[in-house]
Amino acid sequence: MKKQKFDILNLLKYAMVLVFIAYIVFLNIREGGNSTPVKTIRKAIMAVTKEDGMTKGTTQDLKKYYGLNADDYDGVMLYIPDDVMSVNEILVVKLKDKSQAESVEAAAAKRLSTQKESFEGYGAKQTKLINSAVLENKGYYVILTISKDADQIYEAFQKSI
Amino acid sequence: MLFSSIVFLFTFLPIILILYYLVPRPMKNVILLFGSLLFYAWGEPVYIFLMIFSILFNYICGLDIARNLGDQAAARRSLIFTVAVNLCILGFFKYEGFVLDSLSAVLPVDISYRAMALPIGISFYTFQILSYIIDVYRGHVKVQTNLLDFALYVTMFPQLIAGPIVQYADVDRQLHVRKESWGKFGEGSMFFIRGLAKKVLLANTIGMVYTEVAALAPGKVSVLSAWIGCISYAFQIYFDFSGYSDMAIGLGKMFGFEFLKNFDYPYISQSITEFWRRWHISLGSWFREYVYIPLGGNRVPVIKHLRNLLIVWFLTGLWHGAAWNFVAWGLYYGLILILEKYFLSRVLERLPAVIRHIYSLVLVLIGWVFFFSPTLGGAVDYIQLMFGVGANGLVDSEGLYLLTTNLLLLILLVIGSTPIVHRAYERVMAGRGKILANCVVYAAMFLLCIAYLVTETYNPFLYFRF
Repeated sequence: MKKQKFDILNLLKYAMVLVFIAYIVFLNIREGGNSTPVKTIRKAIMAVTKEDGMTKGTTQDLKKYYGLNADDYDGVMLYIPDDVMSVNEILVVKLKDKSQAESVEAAAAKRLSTQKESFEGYGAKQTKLINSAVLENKGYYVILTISKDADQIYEAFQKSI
Repeated sequence: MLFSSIVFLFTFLPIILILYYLVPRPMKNVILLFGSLLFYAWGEPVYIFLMIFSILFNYICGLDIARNLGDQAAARRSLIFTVAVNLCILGFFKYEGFVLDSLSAVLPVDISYRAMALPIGISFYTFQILSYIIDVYRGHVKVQTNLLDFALYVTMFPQLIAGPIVQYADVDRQLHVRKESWGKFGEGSMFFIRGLAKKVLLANTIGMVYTEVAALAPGKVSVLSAWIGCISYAFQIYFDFSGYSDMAIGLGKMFGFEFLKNFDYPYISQSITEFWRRWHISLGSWFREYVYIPLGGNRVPVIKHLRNLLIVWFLTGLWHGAAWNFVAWGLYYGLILILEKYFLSRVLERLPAVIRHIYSLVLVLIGWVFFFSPTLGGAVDYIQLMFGVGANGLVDSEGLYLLTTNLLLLILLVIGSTPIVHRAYERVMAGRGKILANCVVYAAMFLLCIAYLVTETYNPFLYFRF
């Protein structure tokens, strides 16, 4: 059998394959996956917070408050404030496609700013919660949480995906 | 970044154009490359590294194949290695979930995985890279020794995200020698604005009709609504994708490049064979050049020819999406093309043109159902609705409302998808003052698009997900 030439080009070729592998491993760690269903995420989140001040949102609520159609996504978890003086809210959207992230994040940011405008000036406690809200896009998921447990909720969300 | 976004139209594009025309010739490719990487990184900051690694890997492999051309076996080994690595990368990012989900469905165990987000444009730029690698191996093109030029070929922002798939042989010379001119720039601007109008004014508007039908609860869709939904989608995808291609061709011209056309009024076709000569021409050419002909094309016994066609159409379906409905869509066309080739063409030839046209359109519309349905089962259900099975009657108030409120738009789209408008426009504009008249018409079209864009929500191109 003919002996394979092992020179600089071959070396670089195989080195690049190793770079690809390392990069994919890095992405896996950094980006997270998209195979976790919203049901599992809901369970993880509700284990670190209570439903106090919130009520489960419907697809109509999603349309009303965020302008989003639930059918466009792989799954949605929505909790909305249960009275006019509450701001507690959790939204988790599992995207079908990563290109949806921008529009969902924009819708969540718009909702956040509407809430801020509503409470700014007279609801100090509520404004503080809104200002410490978490809005993140992680791989195939977008999360918005306005709650005193926002950090724990986000941590539970991260661990679950 | 989207071509149809304010940031692209009023910040990115003007800056890149000014820099491009200000710098001396040797720097022009540097500006274009820098702009292209920025364009991609804008939406995909993480995947820009994947693209850079792909460029480096394939640049090295191209050199390796070229130096081994004297030793056929070594060159072949190097080619196979390069193609395999490229396909593995595409497979991992695009098909991992599909393969594992399919295995989970048939195996008694549930395979969990961490699926990655799909890097935008990966199907397009991987095919461009493969065209270069294969052509170097075949000796059809010279190996590119300038890393910068090779990187520009892969990343060129006008056609990076959704094609046309530019074969290396078509732009090899243009990477070094191309001529920019005011005439070409003007022509490019017209192409671009025409594409923008197709996307913003037509595709997005008719897309809302399709969305309305898709949102109807099962059991509330009449036969009429189902057909309106399907026709709306057919127009949306045509004006969306051909609009993008026009913008890409136009941008190419502004920078002195000439890309081949990607669409040629597909909905006027009188057979499915003709339809595929007119729809996504660059993808069809790619599969013909790099899969169909190497398999033997039609110069083989009938059985092998059938195999070749089915392989090509299976892969065409799979290229479009990692789901069984796309595979079914590809095979659906494969079977129709086989039938046309061996039986139907003789029958079709004897039929009046109008019947041939209806035949083609009905089959294309049914094909789109596989394309827009989220699952294969969903596609079958929708097709049943179109033919009355499980439908809420033949005509209902919702269907009539959709028809009457969108009739004018639908008529406009029918006319717009034929060459009539373009020919009439050319005839009217043939006299003196053509340039001024063009400026006025296209400026008005551009302003109208901007008026739509500033009030519109994020609306990406349909082909971005491929």
